[in-house]
Amino acid sequence: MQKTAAEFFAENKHFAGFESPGKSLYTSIRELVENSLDAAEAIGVLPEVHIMIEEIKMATFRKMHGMDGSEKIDLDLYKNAEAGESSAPQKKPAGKKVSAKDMTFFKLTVTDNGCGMKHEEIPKMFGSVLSGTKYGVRQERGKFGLGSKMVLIWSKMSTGLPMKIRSSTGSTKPISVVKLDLDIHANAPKVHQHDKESNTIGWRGSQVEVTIGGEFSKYKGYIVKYLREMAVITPYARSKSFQIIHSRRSENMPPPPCKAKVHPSALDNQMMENLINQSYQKVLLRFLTAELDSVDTNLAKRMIDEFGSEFSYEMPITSIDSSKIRKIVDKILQFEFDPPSGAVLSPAGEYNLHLGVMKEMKPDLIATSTPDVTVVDGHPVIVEAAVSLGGRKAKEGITVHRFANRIPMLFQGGNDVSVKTANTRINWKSYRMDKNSHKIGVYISICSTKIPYGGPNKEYIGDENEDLQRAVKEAIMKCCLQLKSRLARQEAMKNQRERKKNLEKYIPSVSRALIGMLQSISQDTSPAAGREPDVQKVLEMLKQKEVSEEILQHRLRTFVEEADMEQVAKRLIDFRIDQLHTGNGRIREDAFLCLLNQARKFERDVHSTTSVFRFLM
Amino acid sequence: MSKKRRAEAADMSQEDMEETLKEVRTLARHLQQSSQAASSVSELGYTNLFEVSDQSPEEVRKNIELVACQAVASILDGRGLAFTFAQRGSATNVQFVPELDRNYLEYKAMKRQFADSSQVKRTTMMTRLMQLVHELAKKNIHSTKRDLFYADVKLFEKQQNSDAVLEELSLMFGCTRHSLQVTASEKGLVVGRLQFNDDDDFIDCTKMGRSGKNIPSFLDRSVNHARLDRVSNIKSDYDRPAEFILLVEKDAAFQRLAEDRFYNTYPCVIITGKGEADLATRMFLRRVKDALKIPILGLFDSDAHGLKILSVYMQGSEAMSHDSANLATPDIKWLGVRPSDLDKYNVPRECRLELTTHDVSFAESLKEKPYIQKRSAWVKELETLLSRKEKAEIRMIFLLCFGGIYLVCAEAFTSKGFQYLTQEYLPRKLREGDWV
Repeated sequence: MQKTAAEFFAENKHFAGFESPGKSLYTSIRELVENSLDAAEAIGVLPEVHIMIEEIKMATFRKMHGMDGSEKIDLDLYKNAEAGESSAPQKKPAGKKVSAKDMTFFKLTVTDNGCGMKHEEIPKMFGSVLSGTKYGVRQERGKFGLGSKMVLIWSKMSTGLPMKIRSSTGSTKPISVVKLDLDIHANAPKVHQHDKESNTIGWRGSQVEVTIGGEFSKYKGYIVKYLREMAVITPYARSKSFQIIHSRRSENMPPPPCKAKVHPSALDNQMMENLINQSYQKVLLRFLTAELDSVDTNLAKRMIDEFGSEFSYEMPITSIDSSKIRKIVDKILQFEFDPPSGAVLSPAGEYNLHLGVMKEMKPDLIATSTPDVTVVDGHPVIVEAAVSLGGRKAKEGITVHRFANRIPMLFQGGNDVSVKTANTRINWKSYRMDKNSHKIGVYISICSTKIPYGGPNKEYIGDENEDLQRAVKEAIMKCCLQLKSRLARQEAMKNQRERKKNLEKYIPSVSRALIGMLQSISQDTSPAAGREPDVQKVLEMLKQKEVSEEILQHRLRTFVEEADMEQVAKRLIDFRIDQLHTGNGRIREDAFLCLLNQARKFERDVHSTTSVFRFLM
Repeated sequence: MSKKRRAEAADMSQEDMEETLKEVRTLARHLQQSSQAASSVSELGYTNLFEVSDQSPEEVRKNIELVACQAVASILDGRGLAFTFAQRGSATNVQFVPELDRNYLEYKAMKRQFADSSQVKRTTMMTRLMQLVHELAKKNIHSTKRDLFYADVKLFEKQQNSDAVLEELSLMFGCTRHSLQVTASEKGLVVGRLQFNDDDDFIDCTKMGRSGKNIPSFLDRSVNHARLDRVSNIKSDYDRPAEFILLVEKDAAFQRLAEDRFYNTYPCVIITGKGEADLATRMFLRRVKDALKIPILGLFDSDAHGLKILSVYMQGSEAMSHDSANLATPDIKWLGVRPSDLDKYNVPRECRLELTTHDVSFAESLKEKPYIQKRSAWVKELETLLSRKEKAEIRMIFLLCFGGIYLVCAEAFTSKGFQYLTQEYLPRKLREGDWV
């Protein structure tokens, strides 16, 4: 019997991160938040995401199901404690009887200001799980392209309550209100409500409300961490969840990634077959140039010549059967092509990463590196890095924050390329950092049309590829180099302060020794005639009390201070002009003010030499 | 016992003795003929080399007073405090002068400033030590390096510091360290057919018992602010005067030679610096050599460090290169134990040690030194050492292996007793003239 995609994922929900109630709550939040960010970025709007998580008491939950009337008659049947009455897990008596796992219920509501969804398509977008239809390659958030569908499967399995969706594609468009759940066996939506409301408040965006089973206490930390890391990599978004507000610090949003053509070196037989089936092109020559990256007409002609006599430029692609596909792919994999370009990727950008880390982690020092494009298995990869030092919340030692296609990764870090590189392949000492006592934050964001995940859960990026290892290492080292010079400067400043103290410590000793010698010389009764004039002069001063220990001390102290001033002045001149505004070697931040709500707008910017003014309309 | 040994020596026929010493006498004649009036570096046309000289306490005192008063004047003028002196010798600023076969210091000015936080401590130490040395010069008394260190432990912290600063003072004043009236504790030993006056007391080194006479730590004295020799009237006025000086690296071999009264059988003077030689031993060797004009034969361990210590006697060390004119004794012959001896004298395997990587790199760097390069036989010995990768210590060969302990386990060497060194090895070396 063949299983539907929905059935498959319902049975193997651990693949998509739904292995336990706690993890399922975490993953559900992730999926919805990432959808919201995508929706806003798709139309170039700065994302505004509200997340609400409400815990539902057992009694309320029963009421929602219409089950509140039933009385408990056979009390022995029930668990000792009313599961879910309180969120605190209660100790079970040494497990004798088997009962359902402890699970509480949560109403999760995620609201965004994104593009919204077309009224007719909403049931299909949520209600049927598609698989294996991805066409072309593109940098994508999310893991399997399942997103909210998997959340719906989970809600169906854990609570059975329908999902509520409100969406509007524009402030003048009506609001769609949809209530649906899923028929897992048929892989089809079961629509309870599908209406339009008039949009009186001029709202655009989507709101998804779903009631799911979960476990909060164990995964609360991960949820908070996820939202914070998301804020690091997406500082242009504003999110509000529980009492935690991640405010917007940047208006510089990376352009959405474009669809990339498949690079020939990443081809396989299956992919070639898909490409041929889905291509709009009719003949082989046009097909190659249209569907493959780094292939122009000239190159395509040469390739076809090389394929063999059975292939020609104008050959219809429908006539290419699987044995021909194997031949073509075999040849192509032996050719050499220009590397794919990174232009199709959408990295967070150095500016955003810098601001994101600054605003969320508040480190003492931070350095970011400009991204470079590398090629891993035929796919372009951009590795961005930031290294921070210090910070109120930071822990001592190295903490690695990982991002794949601008999504934080929190689990299974042990084998991750970024973690391994930061811990074992960087000689922190040579950058004046101590990997045990300093608070080192390493932020690695990897973007690619195909992230080389390790393991089936896609929770980490494998450490096998040497090109990727090198790219990560170089990105970290670039940051470290910047930090090294700044640390050196801080140290020089510290030395400067200690120098004076150090010098002053020796002033009394030197003065006492010199005066001691002078007195010893003056006691000598031998004739003064044989003395050098320099000696004669100083002895005379001693006699006139123009020299004493105090006078020498005073003169030396003045000298040290003057020399000190000279050195400070010299060091200031040594500073590069762009670092002039840094005090104590710390970067001063740009101020950024943003509107509290969308209702008001700015006038055009007024530029002066030092700042930009904005007036409210 | 010793009487018996003396009797044995007397038994040795006059002819045998003449035969054994023939090569030594040839060498002595050769050295006397070739010895020329020592010229100075300036006569040879070297202008960049720096030498210190002996100064009387009066001169030293005047020097210190001038520097101190100039320092005070500089502080009063608001120019702070700084001392300038010749930088001490190290691998980079020492020049080998082949004509004189010695190391000399190249002059390089070093300025030590109070205002530099990395130098302020040393500057203070210099000032303080200057005050102490000034007192010594004024009162015309001697002190040891150790005493100076204890005069202000808090400031000096380690004796290495006060010792180094003391050398810098002698570089600043251009005088020898002895001129500053500061000495190290006595270290070297001498025994054998040598007589001299120590502070007017007559010393006969044949009557110094088994352990020999300590080499005085300073060889001169000052009387009425003039510098006079404390050790004087060096001679070997015996019926059989010393015919060579045996320079021994280590105390153990020295004690063996002294106990066996080796100098009675073969008329000689035996000197050791107990490992790396101190200044007094090097100066003493030089004076004895100048007075007696006899060859010096060196007995050192068969490794690079033995050769290094030997070369310090001959060419002077890098650190004391500013005073090598007084300290170096270029004409020393390397008697043994040379790497080539190990096979020639059938030194048992048990006595040979493998070279460590440090030994190898040290030997290789030593081989490149110009004073070694000048002696092709030495280069050859070092090459033997490096190719065999074996070293041997005198102590192990003669005192343990050929001596009693080894006898227990190896009958092959029963003929070689405790006295193998004194009765077989050295006589054979002398007879064959086996030195380079």
